[in-house]
Amino acid sequence: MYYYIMEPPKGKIATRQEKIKDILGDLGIAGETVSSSAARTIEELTHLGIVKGYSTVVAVGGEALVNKIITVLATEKTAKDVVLGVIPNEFDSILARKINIHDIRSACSALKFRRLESIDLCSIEPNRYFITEALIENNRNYPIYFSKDNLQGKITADRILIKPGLEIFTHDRSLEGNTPSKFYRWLFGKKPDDIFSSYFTAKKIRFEAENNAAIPVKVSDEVVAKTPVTIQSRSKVLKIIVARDKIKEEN
Amino acid sequence: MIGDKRPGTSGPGTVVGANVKLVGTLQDASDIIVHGRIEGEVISSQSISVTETAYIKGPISAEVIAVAGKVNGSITATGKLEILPTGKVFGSITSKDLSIRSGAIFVGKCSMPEGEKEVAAEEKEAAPKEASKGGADYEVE
Repeated sequence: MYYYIMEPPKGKIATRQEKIKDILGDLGIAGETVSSSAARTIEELTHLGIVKGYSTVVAVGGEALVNKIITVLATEKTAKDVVLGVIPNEFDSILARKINIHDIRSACSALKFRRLESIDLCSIEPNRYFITEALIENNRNYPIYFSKDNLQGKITADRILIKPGLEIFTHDRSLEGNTPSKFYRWLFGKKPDDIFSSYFTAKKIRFEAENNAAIPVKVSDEVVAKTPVTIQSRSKVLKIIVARDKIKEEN
Repeated sequence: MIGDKRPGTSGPGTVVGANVKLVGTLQDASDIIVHGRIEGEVISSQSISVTETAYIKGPISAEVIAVAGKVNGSITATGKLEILPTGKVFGSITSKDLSIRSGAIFVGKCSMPEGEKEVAAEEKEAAPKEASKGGADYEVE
């Protein structure tokens, strides 16, 4: 029933994976465990799990691994009823907070008690999905055009952060002031007026850099696209296992 | 539209930075803070804050509006409208509760629907008295 996809076992990761396997065994939810390698990518392993008929695919690893599995689950038609479970590497991440887990044991327990929740994802056209964050980042500020329905805009920014639900934060570090002014503010404890940051939400948005420049779009530190790019919010496209504690929290 | 929110949700709303230029309709159910430049309509169900660095060319409507920057267009506030000392408004304004601070520039027509209703009611009240007064004069004549 459970299909665990893990990162390649190296050093500390191997020890951690052994610990996870022990806990899963104790809880009685041990299943098939596979690790990505040069021969089998995460996407291929996920596809294989779907073909084998597993109803629960569990991502054991970092955000990059989770986003790759999500992309396959969200795009494959046959994966419509497949549920995602996550045992992340870090427990202070957005994802861990989203599923309300605090450590390896609570992540494994959540898998056993299976409370399902439909979640929103963001997609980068043509077919890349993410649950964490995407970042359009340049080493210097650059004019970027964006458009959405009946609104067009131009922004000068070196950093555009896109969060699930298509919440968009833009920032231009170069406009924060020079070093003496930063030092002055620090010395006198003055908080700079942040008038160069923007925040807005959308359902679908297209970013295009001036002169058709190709600015990288990164998800989990991996370049997945380059501008021009269209990003869309997809609601309730994936079922994820969250901790039972979340019910108490919500009540 | 950008800044669209599901009804009933409350979030930080929309913030348009000083380095942003927008063309089109900006609508949000939550608060909107504008530091940059907008050519088009700005609509909020809650408040709109036009800061010192902002320039809006187009109509604005919200419950509460504070203008410290420049607005070239009509302003409709269902609640309070405040034009701050650095604010410049060129266009008609409609508000229930208006405050124009010393130093502000306002060129346009102002209407207060509540005040107009009050005046109309007063006039209506005064009309029968005038009529009865006129009647007496007629009788004397």
